Amino acid sequence: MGSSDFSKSNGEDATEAVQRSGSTGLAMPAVASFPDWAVEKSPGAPLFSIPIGAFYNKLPEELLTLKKPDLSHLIHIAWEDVVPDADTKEVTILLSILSLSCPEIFARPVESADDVTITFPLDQLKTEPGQDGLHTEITAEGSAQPAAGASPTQESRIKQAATTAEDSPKKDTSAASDEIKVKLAPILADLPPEIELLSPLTLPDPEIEIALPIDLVRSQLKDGRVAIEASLLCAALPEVLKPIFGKIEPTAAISIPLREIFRKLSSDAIELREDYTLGYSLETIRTPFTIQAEEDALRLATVPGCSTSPPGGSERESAPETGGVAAQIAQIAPEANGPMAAAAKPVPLPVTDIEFPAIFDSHVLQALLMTEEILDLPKTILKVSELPGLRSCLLTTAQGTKLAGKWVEPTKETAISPALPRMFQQLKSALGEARSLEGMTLYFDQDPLSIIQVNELCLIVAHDNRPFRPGVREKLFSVMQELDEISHAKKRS
Amino acid sequence: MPLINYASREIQFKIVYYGPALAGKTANLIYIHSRIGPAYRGDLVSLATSADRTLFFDLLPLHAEILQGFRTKFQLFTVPGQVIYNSTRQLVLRNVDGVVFVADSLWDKMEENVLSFRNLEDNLRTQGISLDEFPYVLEFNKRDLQDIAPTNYLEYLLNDRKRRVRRFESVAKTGVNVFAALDAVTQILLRKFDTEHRELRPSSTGR
Repeated sequence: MGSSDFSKSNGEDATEAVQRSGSTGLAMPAVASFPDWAVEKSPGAPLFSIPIGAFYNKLPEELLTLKKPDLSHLIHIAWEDVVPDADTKEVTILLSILSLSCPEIFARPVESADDVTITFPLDQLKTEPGQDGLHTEITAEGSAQPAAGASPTQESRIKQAATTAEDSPKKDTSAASDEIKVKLAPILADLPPEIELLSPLTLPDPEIEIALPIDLVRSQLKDGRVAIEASLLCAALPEVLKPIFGKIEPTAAISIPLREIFRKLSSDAIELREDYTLGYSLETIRTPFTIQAEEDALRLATVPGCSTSPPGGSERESAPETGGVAAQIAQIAPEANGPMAAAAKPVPLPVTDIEFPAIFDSHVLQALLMTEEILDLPKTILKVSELPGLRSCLLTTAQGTKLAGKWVEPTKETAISPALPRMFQQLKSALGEARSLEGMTLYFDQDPLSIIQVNELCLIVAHDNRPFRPGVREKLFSVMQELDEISHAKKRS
Repeated sequence: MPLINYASREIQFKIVYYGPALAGKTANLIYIHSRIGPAYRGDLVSLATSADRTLFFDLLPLHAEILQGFRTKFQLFTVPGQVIYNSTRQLVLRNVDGVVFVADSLWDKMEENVLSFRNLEDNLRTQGISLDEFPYVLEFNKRDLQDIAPTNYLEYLLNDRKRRVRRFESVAKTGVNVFAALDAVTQILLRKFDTEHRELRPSSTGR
């Protein structure tokens, strides 16, 4: 990168340029030279280009939007609004000017009362002074970066860390640093075979790290590979190793192992976009393969899906209408692979459309449960679990989605909740029309538990070490019928 | 588009397992094949040439007549993952209805995942199909291994799009989430088919 003399830029004297910016009210700067990239020679007035990252940290936080901008984004400011200082190697720009150049990073317009001067150095992080005074690489956070294969000037941005792992931070905090330190040993272990070394390579310390520009790394993460030119690697090497790489082809690509990068990379480096829509419906339907998926989930103790959490309010695919083709196919899905093994492990639960009002207006329930309290679903199930001879109970859908209640052993709740209703469904299907199945009781060791189903609602109750006491079973059925009625009334409304 | 054969009264969906070489596509197919009863599946066929290999088999998960007397049939294919076999992949992708993209979770395979995914997008585009409107799911395979990338990075590489699809952490060789992924893509296919073929609904056919 060559230099650009500010005073001669575009044939215009810098002093004149600053004098024209009298509105800024800033002191007259000394003449200074600026890097080439910072000068955009437009047909009209010359422009000063600077990445947002160079000054972002200097901006008043209360004026900024919450979303951190792309710090590498270049903005352009008329020369006449830039006040450089060759002595301090800084430039000063009015906040209002900056806000006009990149309004998207400001939460509101900068008013005159807010206006201050923003001074920031251009060479604060330079590693090798240029030959022409101020001409160095601006390494403020977010400076513009090409992707793989850096330009020669980027070489100056790589600093040899010359530190060991103990000295380095555990995670890169890009807000505070524009570089990432990675261990050298894995990089050298992974050198491409075409790289010729002048002598066998031995690291004086296996923990030696080198520093790489964070932007250079980040810009390549999307490709699933991070590579730098060999010349950059050489620049970053400890002095003792540099002679070994004397014959290296400067443009050869050197891979940086991703695992090493991710050991130090801050989590915000791979933030996913937020403006996405879901490419699937949250409402599940059964397919010919649902049975196997559920069975595998139980058998292999996994959660089928492991899918991304749906964002609130995002787009959803339309659910199939009742009686649609999908529903018809799903109807016969259970025939796909014969009877399935019983399950005892948790599985994800289907979305349910069963709803209850926040408060029940049911004298029937109050009478059944002998209370004058205003009931809701949790209270009702709690009251049920307090019936004589019962220890706890769960209300679920026929598919096993928990609606209310808690199990006496919470650790078993996630297994019992989906498994028992499904087992009940299978048994009911097997019996078909021959016999009506409304409930069943199972014994686990000495502990009986019962399941009662009324339409789409299932109640699972744990007994107090003996079968139902007189009248309790009937009461449970009555409660379930009332809950079913309340649910249907809610749906109708 | 699913193939609707009015003569044989059959609706056929074609699902392709796509992904880089050695990511586990064939392991997926072998597992699925092993879990489906013989009465409901065809043979696992390997179309091997001197240069490459394509695996496929038919799935006939149901023999009952549905859809006004139609049967459904699923054809499951894998493609050769090696970069040089793109013509075969293009061929296999013809008339594809849905894709399960099997990504390799190993750190060293990240670039191959990205390239394969871009290749899928390119090959679909040659058929006039936009990936953003196409039914597919992602499988992050080999989650049982040690040297693997975190799922948020895989997500960043393969699912950081305007339309985000379902993704599954799988271990194809043991079957973890293999059917879950197949189930998910089938759900999308069925919904799509349902939307696009309302004339086959019983309500409109008088059934």
